[in-house]
Amino acid sequence: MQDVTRTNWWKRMILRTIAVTLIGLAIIGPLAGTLIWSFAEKWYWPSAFPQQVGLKYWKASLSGQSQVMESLWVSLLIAVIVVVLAMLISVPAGYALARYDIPWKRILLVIFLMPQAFPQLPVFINMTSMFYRYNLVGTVTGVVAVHLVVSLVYSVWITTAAFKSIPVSLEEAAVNLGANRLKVFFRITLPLAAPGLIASSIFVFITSLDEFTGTFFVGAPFIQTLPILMYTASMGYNMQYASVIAVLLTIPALFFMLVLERFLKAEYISGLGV
Amino acid sequence: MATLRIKGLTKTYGQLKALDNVDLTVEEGKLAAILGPSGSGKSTLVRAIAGFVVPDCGEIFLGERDITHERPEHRNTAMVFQSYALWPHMTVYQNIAFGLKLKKKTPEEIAKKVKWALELVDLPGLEERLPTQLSGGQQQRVALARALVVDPEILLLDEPLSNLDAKIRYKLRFEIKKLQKRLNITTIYITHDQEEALSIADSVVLLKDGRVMQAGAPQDIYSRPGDLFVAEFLGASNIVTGKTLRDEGGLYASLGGTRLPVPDDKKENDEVSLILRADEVELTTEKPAESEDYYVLKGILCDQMYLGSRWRYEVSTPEGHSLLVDHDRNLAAHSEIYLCISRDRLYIY
Amino acid sequence: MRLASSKQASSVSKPGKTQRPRGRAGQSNLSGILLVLPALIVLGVLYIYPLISSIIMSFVSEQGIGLYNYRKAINLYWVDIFFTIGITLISLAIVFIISVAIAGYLRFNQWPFLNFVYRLPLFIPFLIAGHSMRVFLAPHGILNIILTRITGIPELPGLAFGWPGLVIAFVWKQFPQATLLILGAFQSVPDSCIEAALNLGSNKFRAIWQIVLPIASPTVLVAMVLTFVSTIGCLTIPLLIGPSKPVMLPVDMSFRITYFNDWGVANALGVISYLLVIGLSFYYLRYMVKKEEA
Repeated sequence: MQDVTRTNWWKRMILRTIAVTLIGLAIIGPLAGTLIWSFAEKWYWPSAFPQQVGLKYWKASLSGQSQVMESLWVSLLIAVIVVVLAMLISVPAGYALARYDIPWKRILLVIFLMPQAFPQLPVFINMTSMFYRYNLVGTVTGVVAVHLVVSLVYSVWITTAAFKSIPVSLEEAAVNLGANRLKVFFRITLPLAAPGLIASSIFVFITSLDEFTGTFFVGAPFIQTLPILMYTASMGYNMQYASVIAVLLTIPALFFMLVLERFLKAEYISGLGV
Repeated sequence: MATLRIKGLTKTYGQLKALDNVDLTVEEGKLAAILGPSGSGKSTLVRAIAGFVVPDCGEIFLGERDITHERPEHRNTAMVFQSYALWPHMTVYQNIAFGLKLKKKTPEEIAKKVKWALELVDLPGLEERLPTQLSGGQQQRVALARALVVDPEILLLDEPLSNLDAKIRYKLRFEIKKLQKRLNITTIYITHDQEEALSIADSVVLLKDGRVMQAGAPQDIYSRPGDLFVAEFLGASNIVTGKTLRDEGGLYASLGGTRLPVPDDKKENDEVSLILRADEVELTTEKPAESEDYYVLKGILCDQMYLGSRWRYEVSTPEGHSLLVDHDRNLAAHSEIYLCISRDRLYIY
Repeated sequence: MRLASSKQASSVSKPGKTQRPRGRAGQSNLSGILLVLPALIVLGVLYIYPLISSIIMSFVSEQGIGLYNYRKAINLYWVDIFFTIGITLISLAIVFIISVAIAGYLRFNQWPFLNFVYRLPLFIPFLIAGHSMRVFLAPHGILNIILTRITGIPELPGLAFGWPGLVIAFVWKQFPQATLLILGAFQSVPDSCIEAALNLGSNKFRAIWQIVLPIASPTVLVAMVLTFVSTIGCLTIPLLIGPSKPVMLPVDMSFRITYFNDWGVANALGVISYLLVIGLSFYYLRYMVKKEEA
């Protein structure tokens, strides 16, 4: 009896180990490869590990005058502007969608989803041709506009959900005590919705930081965000630089998304119920 | 059909003992009701029999077969769930046929068997309906048909009627009983409703905190509750607690000015509980003769409530307790009355 | 932050129970519309207008208004159209199998390692997924470094820059989202429905296939539609890891613009990709309507 359970235990441990190795290799393998490449100073086939490991490419990328730093600032600048603009238009929209009886509310919410649920590329192409007419191609303004469209679904949907989660009775209590509509909004509703609004800002920020395709068309050739720079480096087989940028871009996304993981899940699932 | 024997079944969840050394035997063709409050482990017990809970120790035998570590799908038990658990994407026919298909029956056999099962539960002609198009009672009948159609060795009913309203519950209860007798199928019936358990079962098992408190025929368990918990759970309307007293005659308890014996293990000034049911007390205005068969308690009527077929009175005793007593005539308030109670109907713990 | 967001999660996770907004009807209808208007204008100018103009411009060429762009697009790119459909469907099928398998496993078993690790690619942008796969699947990439060591074969062909690499990259990036959705749907199927099947003699595999999957089918379909749309419209992964011939439609569109300055054909290809998406959504909608009627 004892022996049977022991062999069973060993069998299960061995199966588990094999499964963990395979799953780990399949999912983490590609990411680990990129991470190792960012530290590889020399790596020639068929060595299992880089012949020379070091921070050379990280130092070169992060020194003040480098192209990577330049792109990083451009990316951050654009992302911050996009967050501010997105929140400015989404907070009123989200509040209205959560609180007011607006005709075709569901259809409106689905329309905001469309940029994420329908092929984007043709839209970017036509946006580019439209922006040519107004000299917006290759400008920060143009790129901000693209990012705004792509991230609008997150800002509108999440702010709507955030406002919906606040019971109307809390607002009515304040009105009942004599506060006017505006005061109620800024004193009661906004502070209560703040966590949701911050979550939504983070989504917009990350979306803007990672956006490639729209920037590729509208921003070319003057606006070089980090993803654009990374693409150029990767296509040019500058594996180390591309990998350094990939890691740079992944860290904040991974960090914020893990923090927001619970939120993200519910958001995805409930969003489909609309 | 087979006899179910359970020996020393134990299951713990962390600190909580869901089942604590449970022994249970259900003879072939009998219906055993497992009765207990929520959290008493009755669901764990039935799920262990079905194989959804792996016990820490103990054995479960179905006939001569040890099924303790068998997979659920090989046990040949059939369970009816509290929530019915009908598959919403399948028609009534498909729901019932599912188990037969798994047994690799031919389409003709399946059609015949499904028809038989639907007639059994009195729902012929509903084959093509979806579960959502049925009433709660009908859904429960389909669930019953789905379980019975595979000729299980044992039928497990997990609070099958608790989601239905009282009238349908009452009706279905007797239908289940009739079906069970007709098919002569060993059955476990889980319920928290003592009336349901007493009316339907060949034997009742009372569970509390995972332990069997008492088991036996319904009449026995009702008329001879083993302890305070059992008596209370089986619907005692009066529970009076007091202290034991001592005089030259020995230890006793006092209620309604009458000397009552106390269990042997009591000492002076111990707590003692007296239990009597409202409908087992005779109420008279004349003082009855002393007798070996009954106790006579004294009291004053202080309040009354009309119940339709009878009156319920609140009687206060000289000791300051108040008792509920049923009587079929209207009596004047504040009159002095006497309560006659058969000696084996006054439980003292 | 965490606490607050989880509170929110519970409030948004019940779409069926959203309370109707009280009061504020009638006169405030207008102010509600005014508040949504800025967002709508941004969306209209920057999204709807280009979307519509992509459809209109697809009919305009030097030959005037007509189907010239479409004829040219199909003549030049019919192989790529079929290639795109093929790659998308193969990826979709593999994503379906993997996500149903993982969701089915996690429905019955607790395995925190798997439950955590499968979500990782969800947080990795397409661009970085493409680059990482390029590093991983190249002829002298990480995978071959490992495989040559295990098998002892000195040279192995790379999977990158061919259709297998393209499919692998798509599946790797797309399966977590599908799994997340499907697992959520699987978990909302009550235990008793599954136990009823096991109790009647079904094994777990069959219970997933015949009971859980059909009950969860609306969400499974949503997951598949989302996977289909983001695969068929993706530019970065085909650029970074796909073969140079044939290519997927977004690559053709992009080349049509950057190398040929041919907006008409690019738009025609765009509309063709719309039609492919709408075609699939149509099946989805028809299925949902049928379900509603039943």
